[in-house]
Amino acid sequence: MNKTENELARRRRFEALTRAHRDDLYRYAFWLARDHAIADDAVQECLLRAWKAFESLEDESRAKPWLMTILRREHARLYERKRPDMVAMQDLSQRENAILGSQPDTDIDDLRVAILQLDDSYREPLVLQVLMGFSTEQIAEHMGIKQNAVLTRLFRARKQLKSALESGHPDDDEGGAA
Amino acid sequence: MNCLEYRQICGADPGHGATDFRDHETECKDCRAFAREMRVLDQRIREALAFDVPITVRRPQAAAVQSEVRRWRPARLGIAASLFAAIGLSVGVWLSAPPPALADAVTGHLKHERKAWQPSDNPVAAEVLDAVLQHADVQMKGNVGLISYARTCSIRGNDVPHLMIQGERGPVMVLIMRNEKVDEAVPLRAKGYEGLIVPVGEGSIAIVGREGEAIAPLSDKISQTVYWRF
Repeated sequence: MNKTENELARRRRFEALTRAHRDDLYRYAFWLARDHAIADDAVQECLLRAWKAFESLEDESRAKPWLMTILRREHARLYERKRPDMVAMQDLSQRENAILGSQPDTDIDDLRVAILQLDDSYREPLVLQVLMGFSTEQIAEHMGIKQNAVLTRLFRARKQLKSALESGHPDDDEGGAA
Repeated sequence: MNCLEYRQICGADPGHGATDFRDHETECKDCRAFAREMRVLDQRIREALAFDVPITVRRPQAAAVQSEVRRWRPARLGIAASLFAAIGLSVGVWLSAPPPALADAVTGHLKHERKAWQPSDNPVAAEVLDAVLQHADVQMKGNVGLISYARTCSIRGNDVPHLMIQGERGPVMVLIMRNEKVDEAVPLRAKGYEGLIVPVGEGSIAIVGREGEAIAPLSDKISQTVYWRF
């Protein structure tokens, strides 16, 4: 196999591997950034970085956490470079909800608004656990925090969301990360 | 494990699998109800988090990878390309018509997305249309009638909006190609279909319908509604 064929085979393997995770990567990026454009950029940057570092992925069954780690780093980098303008939370919810698509089920819309309003440090572990299926141990490793802190944040995130659904606004008195 | 410990764990991880956690749930009716409530909440959270990813994001990663591969190509390829271009210009080779590959790419695209050719009275969702146009830095001002389909497609390596509008003989395909300049209208013909590529500013629009469709008035109408965003 010559160099070009090798390159083509490598690219195909990469695409096959990442295709399955594309939607999850975008969703994770969106919930991190709460911004469609930054999420889109972060995913593209993540894929470029992943492509460059593809040979370093020793176990392809670990592709998802590997991609998530790259994405998290790229998001942090993009966020530093391109801090989004401050937007009133109500405007943000309306704008991003338009992108998320309005649901026939208004509870889901309300829940999305409440999730957008969660503190970043609560929202991220919740997304990793509920959407990505990470264990609390994996979340701790991914975020570089202790497992107990993850448990506390998850507990508070759910409490706030439950309260928001019941009363129509998030429970603010539990603020502050673990 | 007591009820407080159980609820602290359950509130953080309703699917927790430890034996003492499960045992307590079996024994305590109130905590079982609490766990059920948490799991219902989790299901709702999952539905809220798992929104449909906008179609413009679903482009193949190849776009990202290929752009990177292009960056890696040795400089000598660039030099060769420059020389080739210089020689081409020096002998006065200038094509006023688009490269044949463009017409081929447009007619070749007819084979894709056959579902889009089914007649429909349902307009595509406004957010989808906006996202597709925005992705290509295109704006449409004015009414071109019912747009039943909108998707980002790849034509000769460029992401272009592919829309379906309604003609007299059924759906009509519109490809808005801001990176494909043509100097004059180019007729297109494929088995059972006919169309035009018309110049619009620095780009062009391809309009293709079933044989016998009145393409010219449609192309006039569409050309007047499309704007490139800068």
